Amino acid sequence: MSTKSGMTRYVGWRLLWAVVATWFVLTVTFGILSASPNPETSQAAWEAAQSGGDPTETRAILEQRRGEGSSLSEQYVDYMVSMATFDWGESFTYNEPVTAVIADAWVYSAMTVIPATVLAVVLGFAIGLYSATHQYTKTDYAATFVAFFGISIPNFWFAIVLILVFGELLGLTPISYDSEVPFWSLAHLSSLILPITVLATAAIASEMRYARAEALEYVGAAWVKTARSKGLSELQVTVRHVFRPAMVPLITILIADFVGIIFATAYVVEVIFGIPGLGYVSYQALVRMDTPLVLATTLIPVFLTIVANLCQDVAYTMLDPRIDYEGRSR
Amino acid sequence: MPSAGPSFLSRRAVLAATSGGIAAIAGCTTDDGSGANGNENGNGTETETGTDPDPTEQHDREIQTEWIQAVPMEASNLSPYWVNDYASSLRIGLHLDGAYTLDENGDFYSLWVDDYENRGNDTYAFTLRDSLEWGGDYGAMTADDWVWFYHNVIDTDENWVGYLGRDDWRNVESVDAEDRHTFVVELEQSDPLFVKRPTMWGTSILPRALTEPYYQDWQDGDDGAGEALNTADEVLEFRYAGNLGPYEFERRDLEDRYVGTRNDDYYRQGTEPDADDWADAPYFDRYVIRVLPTQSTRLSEFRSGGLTYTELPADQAQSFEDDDDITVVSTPTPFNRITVYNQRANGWEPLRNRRVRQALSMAIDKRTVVDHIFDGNAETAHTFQPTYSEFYDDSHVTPFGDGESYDPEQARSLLAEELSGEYGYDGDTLLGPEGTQVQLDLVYQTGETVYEDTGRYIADALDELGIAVDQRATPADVLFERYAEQEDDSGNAVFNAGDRDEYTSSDDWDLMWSISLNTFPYSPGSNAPVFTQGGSFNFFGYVPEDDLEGLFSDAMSADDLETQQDRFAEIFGILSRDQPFNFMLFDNRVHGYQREVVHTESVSPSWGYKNQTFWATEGLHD
Repeated sequence: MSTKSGMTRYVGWRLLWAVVATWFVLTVTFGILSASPNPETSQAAWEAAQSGGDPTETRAILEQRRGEGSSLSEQYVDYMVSMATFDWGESFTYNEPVTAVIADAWVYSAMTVIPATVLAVVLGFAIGLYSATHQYTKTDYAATFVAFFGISIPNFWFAIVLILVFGELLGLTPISYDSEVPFWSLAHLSSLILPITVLATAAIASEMRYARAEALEYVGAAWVKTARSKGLSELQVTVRHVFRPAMVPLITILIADFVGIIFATAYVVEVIFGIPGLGYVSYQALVRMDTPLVLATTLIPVFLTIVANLCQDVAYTMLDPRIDYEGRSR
Repeated sequence: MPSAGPSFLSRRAVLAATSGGIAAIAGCTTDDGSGANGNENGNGTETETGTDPDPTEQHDREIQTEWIQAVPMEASNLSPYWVNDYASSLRIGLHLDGAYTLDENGDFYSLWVDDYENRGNDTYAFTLRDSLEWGGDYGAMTADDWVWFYHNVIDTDENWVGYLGRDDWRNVESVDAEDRHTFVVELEQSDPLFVKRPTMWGTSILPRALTEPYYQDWQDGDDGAGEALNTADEVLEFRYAGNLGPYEFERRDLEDRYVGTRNDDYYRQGTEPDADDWADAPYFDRYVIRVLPTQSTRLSEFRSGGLTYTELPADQAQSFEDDDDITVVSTPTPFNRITVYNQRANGWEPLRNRRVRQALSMAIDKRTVVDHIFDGNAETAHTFQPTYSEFYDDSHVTPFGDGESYDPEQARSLLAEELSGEYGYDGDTLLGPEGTQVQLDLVYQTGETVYEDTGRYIADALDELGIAVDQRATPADVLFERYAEQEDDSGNAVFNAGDRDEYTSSDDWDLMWSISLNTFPYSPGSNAPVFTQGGSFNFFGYVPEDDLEGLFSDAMSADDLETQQDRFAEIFGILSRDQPFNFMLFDNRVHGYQREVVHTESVSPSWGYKNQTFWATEGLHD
């Protein structure tokens, strides 16, 4: 079997697995949603009963509005078909197509997540490499302290403190995100500083620790010593002979970090700064049990993660020619 | 601050909490009766704290650029027929005033309805203003729109629109047009308080011409016609609203902001009552509602001058009261925040004894809760009616847990006396039939610090009686589902499935703190479902010794106010004695405004009923 056909088969199996895994996650999500009480319905039924009305009828009306009038199995089939055909229907909460809601929201997330990720990768890797090549120096200790601070500090607390200090006390930055400020303006950039800082702080710390640990494996390697003896500068040694081999395992954490920032960390930041991004919208969908929106916002990160992991596996072969997937079709 | 209730509120609850009705919700809210209106310059405005604009300085009511307020939640929907939450009511209120509202004294205050006539307590005639215009090509709002609404939305066999307010129209027999602007509502049973019920009060409708094609589709077998109506762009963008509200729809950015622009043709401008206040209303070019989910962000933004108005948490109001740039207005509400005693079979059995309930209520100092947990932004409560209600009679009420009626020693004696021989004190510990300390389960909802703090306080207070308390906090919907709902014989989840020995909630509990119930001070007959044995809301298994059902019936059917007051005073006296729950307190609602905002009404539970006449002495966010 040639390397190429082995790779094709491997990719095929992984894609199939991606579909199965996505189906499984969506099914579990649908099951949990169906089994959970809907806060809006519960409240409406509660108040109907208090005023002498019929809570059962109230529930029925609200369930009908959300398309829950049919049997559970019919609803399940409907949702799965709509997910598979990318006809994701309308959000119950916003009375808008799910795709439109996501299309509106992702831009806001991108404005904070992309710069934060770029900062995290560039600064995190750079500081990590510097720390590794200057192990047990004062700068290494300082970088380690910063990393542990970033990892340990709760995002929500950090965000609130930044708002109080830089927004309210010093008046240097806006307190919350203002979507009416022109996009290409200093005021807009200013309103993104605090959210990006919060997002990047934790991510930089994480990347830096990984980069340091991986780089340390290669700092004392024979080829590094050889490179130095050939008279290469310290920067060239670090970048070409330490960073390059360390990059392969580092890539594995990038995807998880990116998805994690969007759908976990970004949620906290978006809620606190009032940014109507994807993390916040997906959380609100869960809180309001907006099934079409929940499933769509579940589908995206799940599928993104699985496919991105596949891409990174394939990228290994390019970064490290010793890796191939021949004979690993399953 | 403790919210007036959980996040989701029905239109009815919102209305009853806000005599300003849906229109008044846009900005601020609440209800009752006190003082006079502010004068033309707003100088008669009473605020509890903060600094008003200099009363000696005369200002013209110029139209300022923006009113910006922040709220924690996005609206669920924007159709007046589907609204059942406060967030949505707030947005809708910018475009539709509703039929009428109730003023500071709880009396009719004209909006769309110019005036009404009570024709013998069972027939009411409502006359619309002749200046009301729908948007688009729908022409004038006339009596015909209301008659059609009643016959084709309310009085149909099937609720094709999904209108949750249909229950409020139970007592209405017919609605007929008398002339172009007057329609007559006939009731099945006479009701002198009909105008104060959330039937017509605050109700908004869609134009007949807009709704009729959808109705026809439904008649032709299209089950989705109601949904199509309520989600039509024309409805969601208020293209039909014409001059019926202070602002026109500009845009809605999901989870971000909702923007209205000043309606130059607003029908209420320069009209009576209070024509001077309404002269050029509204007094802002734009009305912006920002969604800021985090309380700390809202408060920081407000403190920094980024918001014109926001609601303040009761336990943090003090810090704003000390700020000269901010005016704080604390208004009473009809929401009673209670501790319920579970008298069903899955509660502590002695709670069925009213003397035991009295003992527990006696051991909890409400004044401490109000002063030290709610920072004074609440009122102690002794029965299910606020003291400002005209149906509250102090002479009938038996207080527990306030001033001299807070008496842990007497509570302990009472417990020892009332509990059967299987119980007894061992030192400071109350032992149960098994010889172990009596332990009660206290459940409450999550979401506010004051709930948790009060929960701990209740646990400590009962610990003084030798009773251990196990506390559990859950989200409101879980609280309802696990601890209040029961499954009836048809398998439906209801709040009173029947006999308290047979039907119980899925999880055991003894005390439920933090829930807030509307006491309907303008129409207290609405409380019958809570306190009658078979009432739809008697989830806690209260079996009154007196004939409360008969008393409620007598009170509601009485033709004169005096008889009604007597009957209701008797009912609320019985309730204060029986302590079906510890009435704990009435929430205040705390409003924060930038100092420049001038109010045109005095502090009352109806606060905000004229909020569209509030103005500012200078631009706030220019």
